Amino acid sequence: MIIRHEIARLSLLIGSVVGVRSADANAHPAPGRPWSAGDSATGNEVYAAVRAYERGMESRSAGFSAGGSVADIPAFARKYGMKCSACHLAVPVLNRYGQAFKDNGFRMKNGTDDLRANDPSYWPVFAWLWKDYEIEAQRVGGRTVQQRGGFANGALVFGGLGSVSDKLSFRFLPTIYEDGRTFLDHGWIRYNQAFGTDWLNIKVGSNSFDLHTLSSPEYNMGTSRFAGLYAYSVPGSVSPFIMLGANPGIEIMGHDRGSRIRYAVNVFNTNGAPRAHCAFCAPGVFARVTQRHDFANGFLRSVQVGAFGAYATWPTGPDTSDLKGQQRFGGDLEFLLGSDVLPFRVTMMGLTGRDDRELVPTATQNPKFNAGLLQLEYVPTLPLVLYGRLQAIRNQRQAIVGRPDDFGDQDYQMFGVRRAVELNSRFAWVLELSVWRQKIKQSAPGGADLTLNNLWVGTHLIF
Amino acid sequence: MSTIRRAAVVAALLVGALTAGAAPLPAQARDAARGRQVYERYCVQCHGGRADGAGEVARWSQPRPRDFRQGIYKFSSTPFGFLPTTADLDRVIENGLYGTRMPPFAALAASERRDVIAYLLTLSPRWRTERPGTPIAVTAEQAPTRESVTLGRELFEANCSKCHGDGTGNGPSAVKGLVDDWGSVITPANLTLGRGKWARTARDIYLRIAGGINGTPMPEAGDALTPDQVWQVAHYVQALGAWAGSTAELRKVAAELPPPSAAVP
Repeated sequence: MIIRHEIARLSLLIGSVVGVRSADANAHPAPGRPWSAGDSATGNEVYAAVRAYERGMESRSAGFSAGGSVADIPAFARKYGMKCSACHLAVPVLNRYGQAFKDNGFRMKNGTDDLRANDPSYWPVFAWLWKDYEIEAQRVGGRTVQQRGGFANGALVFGGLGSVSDKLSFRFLPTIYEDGRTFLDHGWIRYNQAFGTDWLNIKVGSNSFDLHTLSSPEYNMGTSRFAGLYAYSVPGSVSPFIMLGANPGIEIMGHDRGSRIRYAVNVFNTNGAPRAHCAFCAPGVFARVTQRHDFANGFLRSVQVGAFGAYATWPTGPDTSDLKGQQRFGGDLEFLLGSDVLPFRVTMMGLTGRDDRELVPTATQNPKFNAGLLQLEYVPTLPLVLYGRLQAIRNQRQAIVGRPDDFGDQDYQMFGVRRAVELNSRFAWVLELSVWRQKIKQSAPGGADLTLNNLWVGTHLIF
Repeated sequence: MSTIRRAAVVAALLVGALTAGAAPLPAQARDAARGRQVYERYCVQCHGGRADGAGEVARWSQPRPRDFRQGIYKFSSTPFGFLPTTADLDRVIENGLYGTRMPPFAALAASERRDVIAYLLTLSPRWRTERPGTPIAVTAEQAPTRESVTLGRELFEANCSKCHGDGTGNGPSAVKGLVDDWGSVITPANLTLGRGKWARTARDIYLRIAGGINGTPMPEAGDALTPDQVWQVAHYVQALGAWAGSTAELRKVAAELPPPSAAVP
């Protein structure tokens, strides 16, 4: 009963903090934007949505980059005496071993997971300090309308996660920004191996879905904000649901011994639901299955196939009534080429989404969109990764009849390099440089295309 | 000749010159080269960059990580003193050693484990001069009975309790102190836990009794026990804890028997 009470308190706290953050992101215009609220309604609608999305992702990326994967776990390196690169293809991308470790509830399952079995000096906590610099140029109709740059996003994460005992794993992750804001994203407790089987693990709290991008810690730091197909909403949608975020609820997941076959099912309350104290005001369900096959010889080292789907709801009535749905279905395919340890990783993902028209004010039909990405990562040496991503979003059917077919379509290209300097098993220093270009069709006032060009440099110090 | 064509010819000549001098590596060497990458990713922190068992975190590890330069491996299916088979090494890598810092690497691809084993074989001269021992022949197991457990207890008292005491590892030799070949203080296994570092089943227990543990005071049974007697001891050990294949009935039988007298309270 006490545990249930604590979980409920934790959920309430997370819900209220995230809810406030989301509301804040939508209420205030981005500083220094060149257009006023009186410009083209449709253009502003999309533009505002894009900026709100960006701001939302910025704030969420803080939580993501500090959570969701083993990226944030120098504590694990301390506990188990392994290097960061034991679990990461290149921090924070997980390799096979790291994926299995995560699937096991951050346990080695070797009789050493219980805190009581460890050196008394070990504490399951970590600290993460980051800072980044970004230059952004906005172009409308081929003309640069604004250019700006500066340091941003300095923050300190001081969290805890790991296994308390063989059966219980946990995560708690507050982030403190330079300006004093605090942000609490992920927080959960997991019961491992219910009935003694790896196929049944139960997690309660606010956590990310099992997506191939690891809910963006894979692109932590600045680049996470555009790990975005999973976060896309049709223009004008009032629902804040994104698959990329942490949503409070229950996750049931299972896997075989080597995490070659995996599944995860989440029953959740959409993050930011208007009444956070209501457990299921905006219920939803998410599921994903994956299967990996390793090859003994040859250039193709392994293939992983995944399929996922989500159905989320959002109330359109005056209170929490009149729930309307959003559907997302897709698949992903991952190839490891060349080397098991230093591979060239190719990931493809396709996604289709459909929202209820009631979620878009003044809509006359249910909007639909399709999206896809091609992601390339190459690890020439440990722990260095070169990466690139091409991403496209195409609106198949606009919510409002008469809108141009390509209204709100997006193209995105990103290239970067990340280096994690493993100072020792306790400290790591991550450096990242990336450039990206995002083009959003007809989102600027007057129906012009909006293009954002960014250069981003970031650094993390991880303990 | 255009610039592009000239560049292509120069590039082709350069590649040809470079590749002509490079002898292709044999398969074993290729595996070992890849295995070194695996080693540096997963093993180096404990086993060390020189494979001497003195990695960065080795000082916090008890028992100490293996020194691969000596070619001495504690757990194998081969007789005492012989090199293990590659299957033995793969088993340890895949399953880890329970209760130690050696974690299971079941999530790695079989090819990664194969490669790192190929690398391990380059680390000790023993692998160049000796061949792995022939695996110990494990005779067919008769199902454990009250009688086999009772007989096993007698044999355990005569042969094992000096170190293992009543099964918890509290024999007089253990109390006095035991060290392994690397000079580290070690303790006899607590057999009542139902799981050893390496052993899980009665067959595993059989192998440890018959083959001993290299580099430690745990000897092989040799001629001291017949195969049937080894099984009887294995059944008694199985009945001391919740080992795989152990039953509540067997554990009750063992509990009703007087504990070996060598145990130090």
